[in-house]
Amino acid sequence: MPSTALLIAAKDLRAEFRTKRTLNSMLIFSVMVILAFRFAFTAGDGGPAMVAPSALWITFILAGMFALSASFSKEKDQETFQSLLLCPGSRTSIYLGKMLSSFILITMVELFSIVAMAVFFEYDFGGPERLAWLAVVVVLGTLGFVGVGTLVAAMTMNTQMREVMLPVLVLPLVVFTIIMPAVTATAKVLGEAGMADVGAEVRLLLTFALVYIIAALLLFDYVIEE
Amino acid sequence: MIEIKGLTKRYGNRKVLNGLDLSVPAGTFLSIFGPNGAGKTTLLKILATLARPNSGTVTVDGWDLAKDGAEIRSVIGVVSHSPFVYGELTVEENLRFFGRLFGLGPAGLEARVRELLDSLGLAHRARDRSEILSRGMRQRLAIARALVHRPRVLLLDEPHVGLDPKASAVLDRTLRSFKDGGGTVVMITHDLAKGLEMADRLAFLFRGRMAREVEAARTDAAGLRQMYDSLAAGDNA
Repeated sequence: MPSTALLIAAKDLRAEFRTKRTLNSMLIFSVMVILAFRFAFTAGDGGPAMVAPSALWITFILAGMFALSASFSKEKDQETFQSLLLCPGSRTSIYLGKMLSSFILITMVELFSIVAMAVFFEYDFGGPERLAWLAVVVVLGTLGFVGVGTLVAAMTMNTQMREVMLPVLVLPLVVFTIIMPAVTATAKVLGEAGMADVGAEVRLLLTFALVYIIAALLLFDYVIEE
Repeated sequence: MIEIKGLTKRYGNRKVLNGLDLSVPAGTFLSIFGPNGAGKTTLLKILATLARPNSGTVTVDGWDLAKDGAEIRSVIGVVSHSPFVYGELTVEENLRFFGRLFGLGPAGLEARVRELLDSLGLAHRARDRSEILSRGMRQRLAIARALVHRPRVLLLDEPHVGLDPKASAVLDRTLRSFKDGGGTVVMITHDLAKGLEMADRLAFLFRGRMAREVEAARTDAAGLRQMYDSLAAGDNA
């Protein structure tokens, strides 16, 4: 199963890097969101420190929707999803492969967004320890988001207006379980509060990432059943 | 090779396959005819493990469809009117990708890819992205994709649709070569002449049941047309 998932993820990334259609959309969109926040808030509103965690996660989640949507809609548009279903490997490996490729794409855009945030907000993200904790929060939050998002993207693949249906279904699932703890943890990591306080949020993010991924592995076969 | 007994498939209240029985011995080329909505594509989807039947039993190459889906997928190849290939990948990348999904090792895979590219006249387009290929070339690639893992059964759903005579001839030659090598073929088509030309058995699917099966050698084009028309007239009555 892992080798099949890796093959699918490698194929998705190879196809994406060749055209860069989704990646470019995500990068442009993330810059636009960060700039919107930059111009919307001034030093008088509390400045970058106040909005940085929310701005980052709104950018991550909304840009991430592009990757999730494209992951299955490309297969649908080219009618290639059936060719994946015709292969002898376990069908959950399709889920894992799609999840992995989306995770890598989104993580790349997240790195870019953090740098863009530092530039446009003239924001100092601090030393290596702070960045390491930020990386832990970002990776766990992204894992949970991609875990549930990939399943929902597969569910909405055959629906009309799938680009609308995906955020409508995913956002309510991740608002309280991923976005809120991630924003809180990011604020703590970037703020004055001690990083030891971030443990509760990290545990919550880890728990929901595991819950979503395990649930998706159990449900994926039924979701793609005709 | 393929044994189907009492196969039923419903979509909502609509029974698409209604207690269908069919036996296809190894090495047979079976053409299935029938009007739109008769259940032909549904039958092929079930054989390809893409849809689950409501009742009945299906075995392919001795494997039970209900519990051996992965084993069945490893012995079948599917060609549809849609090529099922990735436009952003080149011709050879598509074949390598599908070959590796079917578990072919690097050395065997490269030799198999070269063999298919040569036999299907795709070698000169091997490094072109498949999205820039013509319909006929894409269909050749689809055939190569379906054959890359050396399946024992080919399931074809209107494979000649949209092909020019040259591409159609390449497809026919490949199918004959596959059958001569002992492969079993099930082809769904509306083209009575093509179905008769290629097959050694003919089956007529109407309203989710096999209405009639005949040896291809026992009829000709006119007889086949008459047979089809009389079954269609009964179906419409």
